[in-house]
Amino acid sequence: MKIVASYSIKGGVGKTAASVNLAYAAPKAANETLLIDLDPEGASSFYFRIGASKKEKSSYFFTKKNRLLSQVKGSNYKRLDILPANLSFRNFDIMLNNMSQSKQRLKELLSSLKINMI
Amino acid sequence: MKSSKISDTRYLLPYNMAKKHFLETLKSAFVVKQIASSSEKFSILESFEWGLYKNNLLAIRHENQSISLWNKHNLFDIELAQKIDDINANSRFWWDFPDCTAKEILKPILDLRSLSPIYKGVLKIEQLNLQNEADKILVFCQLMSIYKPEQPRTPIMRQIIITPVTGYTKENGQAIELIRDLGGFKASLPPLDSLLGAIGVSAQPYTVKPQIEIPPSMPARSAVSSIINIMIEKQRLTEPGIIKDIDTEFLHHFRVAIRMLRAAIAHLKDVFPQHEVPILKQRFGDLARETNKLRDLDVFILDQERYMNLLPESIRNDLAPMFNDFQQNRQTEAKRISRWIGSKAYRDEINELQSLFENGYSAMETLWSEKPSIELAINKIQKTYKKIYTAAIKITHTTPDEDIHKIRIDCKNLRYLLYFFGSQFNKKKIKIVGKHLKSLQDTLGIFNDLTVQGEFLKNYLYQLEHKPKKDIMLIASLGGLISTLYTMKIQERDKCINELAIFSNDENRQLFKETFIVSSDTLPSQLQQKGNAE
Repeated sequence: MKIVASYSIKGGVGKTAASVNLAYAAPKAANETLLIDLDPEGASSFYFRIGASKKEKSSYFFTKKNRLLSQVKGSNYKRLDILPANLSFRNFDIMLNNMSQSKQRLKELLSSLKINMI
Repeated sequence: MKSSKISDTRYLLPYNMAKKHFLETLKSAFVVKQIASSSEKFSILESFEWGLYKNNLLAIRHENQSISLWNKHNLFDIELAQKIDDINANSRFWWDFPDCTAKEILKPILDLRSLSPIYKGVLKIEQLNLQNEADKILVFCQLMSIYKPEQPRTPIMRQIIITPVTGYTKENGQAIELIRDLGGFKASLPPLDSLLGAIGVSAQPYTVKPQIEIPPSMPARSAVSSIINIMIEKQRLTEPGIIKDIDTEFLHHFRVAIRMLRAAIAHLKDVFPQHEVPILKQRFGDLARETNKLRDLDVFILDQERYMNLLPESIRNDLAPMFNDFQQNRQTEAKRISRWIGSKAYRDEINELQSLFENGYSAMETLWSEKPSIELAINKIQKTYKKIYTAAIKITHTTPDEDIHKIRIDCKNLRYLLYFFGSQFNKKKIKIVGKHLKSLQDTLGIFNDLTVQGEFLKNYLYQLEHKPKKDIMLIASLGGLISTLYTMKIQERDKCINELAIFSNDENRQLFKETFIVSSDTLPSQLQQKGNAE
């Protein structure tokens, strides 16, 4: 499984455009793809016409994996699923910053998604 | 190979189901949106050996001559097809295709085989989305129909593929329910077999190797007759391919089949009346010899690139006139052989030979004809092996090449005996014997090829002497090639000597002794006691 992150603190540089286009191209080459939208504005999810439940909290991201998985929705393209954005993600970067071993935990969570998604 | 992990669900639909009824049923629960639809003449491609089928692949040629390749999990999924574009109707071999993934997949499967159409029809693919009012796709659908060209209205096969969308399990279940209401059912066979079954094509994988199980107690003559009969059938299956000159493997297998049955006649001759053996050998031999020239030319032309690469780059292209000559000769010779195989003379001869073995060879009883086949098998295998190792231990660096070639022929005969009777012995041990033999045969084969090729080139060189205009550079490059082949031959000879020493060592002799015996699981106890007492 390959994980690609599109990140920049600057706005308007093309993070969302790059993400949605990569996410569109990857399944065309037969890759099962999951687009995780961590942008509280939810522009990527909007591209694919998928909204999220308002009940979700960003802390669930690490603590309630099954609940997180139930939020994954198939897009209108085969092999492309979306984990839509949520307003609670607005402080996601601060949450990660305050978390111990945040990189490791994020990596473990993303790796485990592969097994759960098939 | 592109593959998808999406859990497609394939349902076969009643072929006489009205499309209108189908759509109306789906519309009762979904907004049905037709995304794309294509209809075209197509053909399913295969090699004579059914190499694609054996590897769970399907290739079709589209109307524009391009080829799509799928594995069994994603048949007819347009997005997942490996495409071969920019080709024409004559592009049949892997080397005819431009560089692409499909070419890499097909290369080892096809090897020297051509792709040929095994079914022609009309293929209609319709992509349908089952959506909600908000245009969100809930289930992907693909309706695939195959029609006979002469009956473009009634499909002979209709299949629907339902692809679920994550998060819409309920809707997926609903769609499946509707498909079942329409009479859709899951195919019980694997996808490829289900497709072939529906269009009335039965897979007939060909291999020249006889896959036979001769009962150990079967009378020896009946066993040998049945082996020969099987090989004649295999030989005859190649005839249409030789007549149409589809690929060079048809002739190769024609010759291999004859070689095997001639080995059966010559090595198992004791089951036939003595005076009839040379006649049979001669008659089958004549059939094989007729094709010698074409096969020699095929072998050379197929190896053109390798020969070129043996020479320094500066004189490589000087060999081109020789290969042009070979190509021209091949065309003439292939036409002659095609006519010959199609001729009444050939047909009469092979029909007559075939009729001799079809219902068991009828002749006077001989000393061996009624003995159990396993006794014959053990006797011949042990004798042939003994012949090989007694010759092998005498081999030194001064032994003439001819002696090594004789051993090669014996190894080949031993291999054929294992094909014919291998099923009568312990599987595991036979596998080990086969592996050792293969390693030896490979080395001996290379040595022989190098000798034959050297001779062939020398003869070609002598012919050039009579040509009015002498191409000095061609002669020089031929000289270079002959000497390179000679050096390679010398090196290969040493390898042969080593391999022969291994094959005839004590361990291997013990293996042969233990493998080729009458065991309790092959024969009734009476015969077993007799066999072991001997």
